[in-house]
Amino acid sequence: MSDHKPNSVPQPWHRRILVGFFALCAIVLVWDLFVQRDIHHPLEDLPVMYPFFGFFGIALLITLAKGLRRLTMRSEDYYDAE
Amino acid sequence: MPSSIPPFLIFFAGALVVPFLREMPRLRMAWLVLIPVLGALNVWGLQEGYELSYQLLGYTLTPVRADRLSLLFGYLFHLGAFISIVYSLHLKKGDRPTLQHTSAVVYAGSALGAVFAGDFITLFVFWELLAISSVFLIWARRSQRSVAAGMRYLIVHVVSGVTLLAGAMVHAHQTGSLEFGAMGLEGLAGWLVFLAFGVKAAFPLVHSWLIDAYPEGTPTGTVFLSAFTTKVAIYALARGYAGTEILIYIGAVMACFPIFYAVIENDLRRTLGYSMINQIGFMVCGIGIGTTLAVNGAVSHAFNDVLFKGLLFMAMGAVMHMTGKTKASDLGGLYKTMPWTATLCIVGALSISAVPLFNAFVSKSMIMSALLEEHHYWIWPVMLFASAGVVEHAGIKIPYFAFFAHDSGIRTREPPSNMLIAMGIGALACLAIGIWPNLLYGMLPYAVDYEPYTYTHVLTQIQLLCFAIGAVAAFHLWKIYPAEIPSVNLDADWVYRRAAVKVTRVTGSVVGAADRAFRTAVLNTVRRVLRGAFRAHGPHGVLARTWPAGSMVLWVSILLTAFLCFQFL
Repeated sequence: MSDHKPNSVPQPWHRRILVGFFALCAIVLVWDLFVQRDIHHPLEDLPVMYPFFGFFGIALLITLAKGLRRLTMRSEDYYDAE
Repeated sequence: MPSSIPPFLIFFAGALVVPFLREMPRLRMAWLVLIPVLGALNVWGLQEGYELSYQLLGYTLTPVRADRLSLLFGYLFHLGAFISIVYSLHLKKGDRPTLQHTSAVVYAGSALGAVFAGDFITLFVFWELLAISSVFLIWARRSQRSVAAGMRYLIVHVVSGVTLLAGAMVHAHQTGSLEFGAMGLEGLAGWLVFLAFGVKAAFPLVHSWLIDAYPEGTPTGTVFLSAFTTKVAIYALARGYAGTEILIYIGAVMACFPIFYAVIENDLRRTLGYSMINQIGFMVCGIGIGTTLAVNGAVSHAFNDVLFKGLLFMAMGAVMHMTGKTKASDLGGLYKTMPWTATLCIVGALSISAVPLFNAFVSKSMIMSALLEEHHYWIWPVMLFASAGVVEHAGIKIPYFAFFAHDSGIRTREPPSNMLIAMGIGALACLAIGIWPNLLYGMLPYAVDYEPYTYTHVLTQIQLLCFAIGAVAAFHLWKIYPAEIPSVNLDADWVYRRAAVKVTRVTGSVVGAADRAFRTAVLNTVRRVLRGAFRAHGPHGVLARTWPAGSMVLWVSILLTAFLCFQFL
């Protein structure tokens, strides 16, 4: 119990992982601009379509999920109270 | 060597012996491991095209029908049973090991019976046995919640079975045959059987049994539950409804709506329940497309799902076994004391996220490619969105909140070695299929002409995953990621757990009041009649008096006079 830490990214190695990860994101993003991909769907013709879809898809998901929580969240004993 | 023993018989016979080994734990362990091994040898010997059938009351029953589809699920269920049994070997007296092991072995045998069933009656029998045997894996937790959740689970699945039987009877009446083959949605029989399969496959609005019951199972029981019930439903849909277009849209809804719930769910095993519905959505969609590539993709994804979802449920079960907790708000920082479990959980997370070299990459992509091949251009982006969503809830949330995130202060140790071994087997299988997809492709129902490791596919998948993970990381860093709050979220089960209860109560009170008012009115009328009768006929009533003879003569005279008067008028 002694080394209880707050919810954050305090460790240096956490930061190094994050920096490395975002560098990887940058590489695959730039890579997309210089290679010819196979195209099967009209959307795939757009540059950086997959990175865009990944990032904004999750952003939309989390935003809508927070809205859903406002509608559906109840106390843990909601059903036990019956 | 060719074999002709029905696969379920080995499991049922094995289950019969388990209670007699109650006082011999080592022998029981050996026996339990031996059951799926013997079963696997038997099913390995089953020849493609083998059928065991006999006549009953003019109908042909086929308890065993071995073809490539049923054999694939047969191999899968033996592997799933083996891993789950190894995972549960440590159960001790307080865990009700005899009950759990016996019901788990019968449950696995029932799943095998269902996928090798060649007729509807055999399918119905194993369909119901699946429900009855598996509910003990929920009840064995012995909490008030698990007993109630188990009862709801049982009711839903028995109703599914009865619906299947009704559909089978209509089908038999219409066609004169009980054979279970391609059905389609023509007529009442097709819809009834479809609905029965849909309940077990957790179609939208009838999915709540899964997220209600699975988190209430025992740590080991839920691993068994995750392997069999829904996969039997996927098998049945693939057999009966391949190419049924409505399944594409049902699958798309299934793949999408649970991921919103998974983001805000606090119980990590319930999060995995939502994740399971999401993955089944991909399979249902593939079955709906119906091409050889799509059906191969659907059933291979079912195969992989047993492995990676089982691995994730095993990791959460290990956390629950060691800490007694599964809520994200109570956990965190466990990687310090459970590094192996954390590592194996991450393998499961990478697998379900379809990272290249892990197994979902080689199966989910078949379904996505089939969508494009068949020009389902509106469904494809929806499924791509669902694929990104998997990364959020199963790829990051599960391992992050259990093993990293904030330090919960919990200091524990690794789970028993059998649990680690089972997780290790699952992780190796995920990797092996991811690296050598032909291990799986060689068993699929149709010949495979598909290459998952193309330059475009690998690059685009890495792009999708990296930026999906990047979005989650950014939301965490910006501190706008939804916090883990001890809570429940209303879902479709609210209808029968709250609304139906309230409607029943209100209806009961209204009907009760009307009934009371009606009965009071009737009783009051009866009382008034009795009082009137008593007044007339009682001891002092007019009609009970003793009248003198002169009075009677007088009244007779009056009546005669009146009669004469009327006569002359």
